Amino acid sequence: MSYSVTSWFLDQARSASPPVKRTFTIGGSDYSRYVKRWPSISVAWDDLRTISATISLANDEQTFNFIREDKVNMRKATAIKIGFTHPTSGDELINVHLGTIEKATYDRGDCALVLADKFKAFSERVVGRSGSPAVFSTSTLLPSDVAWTLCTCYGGLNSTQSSANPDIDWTSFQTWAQTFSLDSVYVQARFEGNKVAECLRKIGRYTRSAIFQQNDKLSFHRFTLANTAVTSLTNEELLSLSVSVDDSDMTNRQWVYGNYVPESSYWTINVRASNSASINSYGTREQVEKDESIWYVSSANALNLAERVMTTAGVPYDRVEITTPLIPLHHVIGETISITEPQTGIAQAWRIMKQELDMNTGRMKFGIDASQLASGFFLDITSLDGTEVLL
Amino acid sequence: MQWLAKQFQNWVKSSDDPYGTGWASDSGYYPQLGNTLELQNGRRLKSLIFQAAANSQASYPNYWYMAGVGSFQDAVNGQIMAVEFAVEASSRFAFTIYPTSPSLVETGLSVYVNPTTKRVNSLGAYGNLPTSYGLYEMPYTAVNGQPVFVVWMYVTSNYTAGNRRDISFYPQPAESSSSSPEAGLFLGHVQVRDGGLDFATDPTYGLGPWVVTSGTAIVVGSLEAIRLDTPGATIKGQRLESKHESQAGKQYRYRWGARDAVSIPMTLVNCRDSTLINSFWKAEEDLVYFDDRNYIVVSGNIVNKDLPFSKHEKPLLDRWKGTIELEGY
Repeated sequence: MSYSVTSWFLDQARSASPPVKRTFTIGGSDYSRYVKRWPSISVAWDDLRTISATISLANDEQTFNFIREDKVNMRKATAIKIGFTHPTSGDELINVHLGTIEKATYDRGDCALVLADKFKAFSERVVGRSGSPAVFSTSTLLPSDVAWTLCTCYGGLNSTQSSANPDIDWTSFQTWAQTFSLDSVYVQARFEGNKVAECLRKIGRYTRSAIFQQNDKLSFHRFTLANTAVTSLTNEELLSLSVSVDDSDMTNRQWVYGNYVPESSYWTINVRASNSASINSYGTREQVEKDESIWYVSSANALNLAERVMTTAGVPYDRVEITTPLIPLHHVIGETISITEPQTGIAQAWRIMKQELDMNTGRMKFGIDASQLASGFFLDITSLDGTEVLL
Repeated sequence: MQWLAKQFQNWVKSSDDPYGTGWASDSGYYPQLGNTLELQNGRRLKSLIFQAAANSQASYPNYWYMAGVGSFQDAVNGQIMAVEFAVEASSRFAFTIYPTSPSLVETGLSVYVNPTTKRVNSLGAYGNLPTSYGLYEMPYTAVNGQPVFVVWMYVTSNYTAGNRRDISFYPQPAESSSSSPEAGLFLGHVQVRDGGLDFATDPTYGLGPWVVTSGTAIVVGSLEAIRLDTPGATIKGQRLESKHESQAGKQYRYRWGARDAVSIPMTLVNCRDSTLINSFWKAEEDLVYFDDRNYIVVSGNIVNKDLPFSKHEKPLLDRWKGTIELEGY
């Protein structure tokens, strides 16, 4: 899942004063030296939308007038990258934002470009209409099947079913689809003019899946086991940390409605899963999951979701907000960060659920929590005979 | 010369009233005030004339004394010649000429006569004179009623590029036998350095469009480069970096780049150079500020808010003053 980087890159990311580099290109031409202010890029696991980046440029030399003079230039590929410069082998950069120019604003010697990623079409295209809905009524449709159709047929993404797909992270999609096919989780759907992004967000919420952009591709995940890609952070690396526990995060009885009948606006299935221990401790906290756009077709399928919620939401969980330097730069949503912080007594690992990179300062902000993770993976070396065999 | 320069420095450092006129030093030299100078430390003062006190005149003809250190550059017909000058404790002032090209070069030097002096009839010259030179009085220019002399040097191929030639000039007052010490000359382009005075090794600087790079050395288009006499230049550097401090106090520093800039106050700039620099500003020309080994000191654009040279160096209508603000890109 992580960005594919070298060990040298990881070493630099941990360094106190690494040879950082930022680049901004339009159509392959480097305009980095004109950037007055770099953007902040944020991604969240459950909030699929176009990622916009506003970049402020110096136009004193009329460098960017070419965009206004020939508007077709707005369709040229833009790229914002960050990384490190190796003393001999050159730059090793990761893609922070790839897209095209959405809007150009000129104000005297300044030019501000709003860049939008390729998923902008998801916010522009609709799925079905009220009089002619897009109906997914086959009885053996996996949620991933619906998502694939939405992405390729309605969203316009490439439909190549291999790792060569330039728009969809095929590996993650396959793994995601497999979690449903192994459990025979089937759904039906009916969209009456929803935007593609909204439809995908519904699938994400209804299946407790993460659908987000990563490295110019759409990535799909249903978090199960803890991810072993862990970065450990202590007070030495943490710029700030706050933790909150919210009672309203807790659900100990989950209802899931299914088999919706649009003609009568009626769900013929409702199932529930409960966490008795939690109910005994905290009292009953119920939630109902029902959606007129997408629904499970059987009780077993609906129970799949209800029981999944019970695995993590039975007790309030820690929500941790941290800011860091560029140390976790290579990480993406869903990966694990291990934190040891004596003030709050935290010594645990959780998933990255949202992240933000401030390109201007090199500061990163992460939201990590246990909402989709029971516990992180630890190798407790204290129980080993010795550490000499560890690489 | 070193001694005289030291006296000059002492005066600069000790004067509480650089614009005053009633000053007299303990050294027996009397400064008189001419054009405004800008010192490296940011102070402004008038250019100076050192005038010998009566008791120190006997061994020198004509009783002419001058002070000031610096260099002078000019270019005519696109050719450049660097001229460093110094004033010695005698009745003459000396030039060292560094031709940058062995081809025919013509340059000029204005010599202004102090208003309090007696009238100067002409200038004399000796030393390693070029094959052709002329000492002319500018017909229509005068400072407070006194003539302005222009020394024209025609340097021909018998000058090897880079080799120094020393030439001296001396004034020939109308009343050459006068015992009055009320005479003085000053150069129209005197600037003062706070630091060393080793003229032979002090670098000169230039400003011109970027042409060719080769490592850190550059080749500057000589046709448009300008030699600058910039003892008051201030080079500034700015790191573009972000600093973060961890909860345990560890510093993380991301240096995104560095930018440098140079501020070059200039006085008595001739029309050709001032016009050229103004045109660089208008065209937002990519420039390099380089030393005499052609190493880049700052590469950038002139970022002055207004024209760098928009004011006359009063009362001279053919000289300009201003400050070039060059900022790296």
